[in-house]
Amino acid sequence: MAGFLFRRFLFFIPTFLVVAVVTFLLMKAAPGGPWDRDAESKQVDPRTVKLLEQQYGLNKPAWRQFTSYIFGDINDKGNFVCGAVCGNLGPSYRQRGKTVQDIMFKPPEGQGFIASRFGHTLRLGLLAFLFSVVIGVPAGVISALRQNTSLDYAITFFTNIGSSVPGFVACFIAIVVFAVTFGLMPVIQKNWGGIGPFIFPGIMFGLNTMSQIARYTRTTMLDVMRQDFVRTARSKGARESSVIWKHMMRNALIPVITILGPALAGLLTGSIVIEQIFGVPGIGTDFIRSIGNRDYSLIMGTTLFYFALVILGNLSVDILYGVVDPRIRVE
Amino acid sequence: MAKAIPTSTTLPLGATRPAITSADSQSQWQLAWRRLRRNKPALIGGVLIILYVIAGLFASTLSPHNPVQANSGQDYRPAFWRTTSPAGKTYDAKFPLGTDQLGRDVLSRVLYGTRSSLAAGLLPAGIVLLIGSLIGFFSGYLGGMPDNILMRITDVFYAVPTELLLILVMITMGESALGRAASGVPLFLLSVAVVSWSGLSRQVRGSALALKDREFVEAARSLGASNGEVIARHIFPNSLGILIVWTAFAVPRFIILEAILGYIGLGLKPSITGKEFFVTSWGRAFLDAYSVIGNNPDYMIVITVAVSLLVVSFTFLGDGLRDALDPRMTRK
Repeated sequence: MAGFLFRRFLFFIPTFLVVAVVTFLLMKAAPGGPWDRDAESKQVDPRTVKLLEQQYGLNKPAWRQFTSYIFGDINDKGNFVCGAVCGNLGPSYRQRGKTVQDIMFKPPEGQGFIASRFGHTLRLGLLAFLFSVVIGVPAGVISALRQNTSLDYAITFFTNIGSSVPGFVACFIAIVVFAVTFGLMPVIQKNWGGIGPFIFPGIMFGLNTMSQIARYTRTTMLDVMRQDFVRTARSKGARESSVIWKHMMRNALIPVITILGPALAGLLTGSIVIEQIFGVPGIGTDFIRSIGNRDYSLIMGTTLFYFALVILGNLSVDILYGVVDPRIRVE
Repeated sequence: MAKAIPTSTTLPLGATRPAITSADSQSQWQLAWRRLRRNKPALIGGVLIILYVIAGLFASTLSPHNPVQANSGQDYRPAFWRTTSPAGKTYDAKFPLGTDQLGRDVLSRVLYGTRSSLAAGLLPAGIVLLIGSLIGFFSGYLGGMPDNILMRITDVFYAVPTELLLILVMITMGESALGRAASGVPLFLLSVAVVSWSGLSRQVRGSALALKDREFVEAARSLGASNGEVIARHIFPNSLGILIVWTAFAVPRFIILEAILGYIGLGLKPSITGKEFFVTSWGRAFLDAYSVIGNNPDYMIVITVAVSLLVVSFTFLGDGLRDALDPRMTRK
């Protein structure tokens, strides 16, 4: 298992490098640079620009900038400074004196990790994920157990619509209905402390994933319910609850679990736009602002981090597969 | 239904099929159409999509006003279901769906947006169908080294987060010559195609792999058909169902991607004169509607209903097509 996971992990390295190269090239191809100011305001002195470029290594050839960002480079004092592969995402160009990992993961003075920029993104994504699993899986199971009843039709109808209307649109519908029409919440939250303010955006964001999980669970449940081993279990006199929990659920949920990893990764990376809509101060907001600012290291840092989340989501599928399905033992 | 349906699968290539006289023998497509016709949601979805396409094509004729023209004193008019907007403006029958902060007609803007958004959904789908399926067919049918290389490339693209890369491309390339051409539509469809071809390639490859060892393909090969001929005459027609269903689900996804980018301000370039073919998009409408949500929420209601209805229509049609083209999936 460990060897298999290691090989899977190795496989992601070329993908990771491709994403890094593409991001780097796009970033460099874009006109403008991190020192540009608005056309109306006072421009940065060319001599200062030169010094800044020297300090940040922007005077080196492009390939060297890339390798020193990703792998590391020898600094002026002759010491090797490790790059992104060691978790060093470099100093931000626009937020002076801060490194990219500080911006993303360091909470304000005296507060816990949860108050950091990524903490906000994490809370939104996890809440949406929790909602979609806790509601989606039971809804799918109930829908299958009560197949062709009005309850099944209601769930199927709702999840059909929910899975085709994306979170992006659902959020706007929710804002119009709950915030503007009924005034139950402010359109833009001011205070993002705790879990409270995230509940509403999380549910709206998770609605789409929830519907997909429910639909998928229903299909796999219906599939399992007609299998021979379920009939055998019933005929040997097993209690109905034991048939449902031990025989059906255990088998029906294996395929469902495989979509949970990518779903979580999708919720964590897909929240860029949702953060914009609700004004959540997460890393998605940083990502968009950094591209506009040409804050090169922050662009690279957020992109690579998002990508690492996707890889983790995909890897988790392989691990979970082995845990829940004893038939699968990867050699 | 019990009668065997004659198939052409065992016919040698180029041979003419013997005339079928039996009245109830039907081609696979006729059967699929019959199954689809019985599926009410899919039919309603299909009709709605046709209406949207008509609305988009004839946006210039159907629009009561110039979509970019600001009308002073006509700002924040509510839609027909409300008499007064939160900004205190009353309903005016000249603007059935209300106006925005500049007094621009919402109906006209949404109609023109339909045109751009349908293009944003259909054009990339066309490109991906062409590139993605070609790669998939050849990769799956030829196998071996080319297959290995192509599949490693699709693996790389498959793992890339779509929205992330699109945002990056649209911001960095937005001001280039390509980004400014035709209101930014070409840049959008190219970048969407680049990030989303791999999913289709994988499906098509799987289908080609499954088909290539079937008897009728072997028969064609043994009669001397070239690889290209086999793919064009046998693999492609038998994979058409996959391509059709993929399209029905991909188009709404692309439309939403445009809406997301537009909302961040990265979608199609806004028009000033209203003379361009692509004047405004639904993404732009989301951005505009959100900025006036306190004074006139009707704009947001109109645009969310317009988008949701189209997206749901595509899903229902896609579900119906999948069931109709692959009856094995509905027997449960």
